[in-house]
Amino acid sequence: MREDELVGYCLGALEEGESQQVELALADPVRGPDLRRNLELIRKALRPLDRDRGPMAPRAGLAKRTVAFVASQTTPATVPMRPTSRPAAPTRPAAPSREDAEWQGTSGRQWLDRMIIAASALAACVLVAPLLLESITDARARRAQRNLQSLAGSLQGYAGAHRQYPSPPGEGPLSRAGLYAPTLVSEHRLVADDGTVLSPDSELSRRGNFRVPSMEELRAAIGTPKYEELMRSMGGDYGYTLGHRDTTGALLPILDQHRGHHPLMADAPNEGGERSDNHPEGVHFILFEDGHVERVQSDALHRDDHLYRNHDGEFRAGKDAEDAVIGDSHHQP
Amino acid sequence: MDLHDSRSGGGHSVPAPASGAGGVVGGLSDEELLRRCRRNEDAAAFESLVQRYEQELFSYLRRYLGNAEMAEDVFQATFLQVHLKREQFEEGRRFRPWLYTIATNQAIDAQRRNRRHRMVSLDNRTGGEDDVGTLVEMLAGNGQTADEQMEVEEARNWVRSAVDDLPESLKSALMLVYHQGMKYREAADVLGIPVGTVKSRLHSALLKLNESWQRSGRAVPEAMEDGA
Repeated sequence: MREDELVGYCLGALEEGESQQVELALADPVRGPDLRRNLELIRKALRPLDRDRGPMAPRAGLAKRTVAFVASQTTPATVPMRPTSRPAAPTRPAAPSREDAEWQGTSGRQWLDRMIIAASALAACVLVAPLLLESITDARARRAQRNLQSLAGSLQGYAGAHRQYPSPPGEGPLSRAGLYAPTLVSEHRLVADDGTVLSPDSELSRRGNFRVPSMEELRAAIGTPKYEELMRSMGGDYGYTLGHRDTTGALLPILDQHRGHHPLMADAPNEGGERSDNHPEGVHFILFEDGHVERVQSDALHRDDHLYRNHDGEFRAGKDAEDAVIGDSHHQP
Repeated sequence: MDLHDSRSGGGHSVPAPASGAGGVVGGLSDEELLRRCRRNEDAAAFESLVQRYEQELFSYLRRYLGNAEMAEDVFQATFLQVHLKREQFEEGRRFRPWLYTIATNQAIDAQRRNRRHRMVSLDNRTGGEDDVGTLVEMLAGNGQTADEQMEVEEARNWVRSAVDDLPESLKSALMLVYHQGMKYREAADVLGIPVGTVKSRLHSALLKLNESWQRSGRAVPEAMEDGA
């Protein structure tokens, strides 16, 4: 009888059949006495935990506040039209006021007014032009963020049906991070627009002819010169998780665990593997397992854990479940 | 106190009454309430779920995070995720482990955001399948555990601190099985790991805690029987 089974018996954590087996063993005239002694020692080992056993009550009204919070986060903001209790007054044209008569003015004043307006518009353009340029850059970044959010929806749809995210095979010619794209786009048709996997203004995007290959095309390309090109491009401009391997080296399925700290996709790394070149000024977008997208600067990219390398410093699958690694399209787990 | 109590595993089947106007939710399981949330046919169903787990889940988060305010935030974030992902909940699956999975991950996220997460390598873990009997051996030489000389409040604080110092993986297993009364199988479902791993993590947690208590240097008097 193993010690962890006795621990489970003490805590009521065993299934009914398992508990019965323990009870039979405890009642056994040969094994029973030693097991009962061990059981008592385990109960003593657990006793200190009883000092902190009682429930911890929340502040009153937590449930109501929670329901209100969820409603506020999930209801579209609308301004309700409230009916007025007063009857509508009949309308009639208003008599011209003394101020209106003064504003009509002479033609000279009108010319001056137009000059003032034109000068103001010119000044506004001078001030606004740099802001416009910045807003164009911001617009591209926002489009990239929306692409990742759209991919998040597709990934959630896949996970809902398969209980896991698209997971490349552990070995073989198609064991590549970028396989997520053909899986979503051509195999399961969860992404309608191939451009969703591209970053705005990237080289692939500027070519104008990017298309996510189908699984049949990938298989047909194995062993041909086209194979490497497809492996490098099929994932678009975004990197995908390489998952992690267990202690036997087996690549585990990429489960949906709703972890808000665990990256699922991000801007793909450049050749150096320390950052992405998708956006100017070191901006990176990361999609996390719970579906939210964060905008991160390159100097904060590897703050908690290197985004593009595993704990051994390799462009390979993680060493454990918490070792998140985002791989470029051609990276193998 | 005899710790072997027959805990009722599984989701609650006796609902707390829903407040305010709404549909009848009495006698419905967690899974049926969630089904009603998914079909949007009962506005009170979601509130009933939240109320049903208000005490239990908050207590778990409060103990896990060590901070009431953070626990409340995580509680709300958890149910927001429940609402957002209700369509992904599979028929035939049990609600309670799913809820705790979301809550545990939200708690880890919160701790990381607050830089309280400690990564301790499991390479240094003690206990496991090859070390059966070491908990018993550790205690067999001592007539009494360290707690019997502690003042109550001091003991409680010391236990909380010692549990909080455990590696995340051991702490979560301990909290789910010991404090939340889950069976091994249910905790395994929550954590997404094999049942055997839950058993070994819990065993390792107890070994580490007892090592800490014994290192505390307190004298160990004669054992006191429960209820004496």
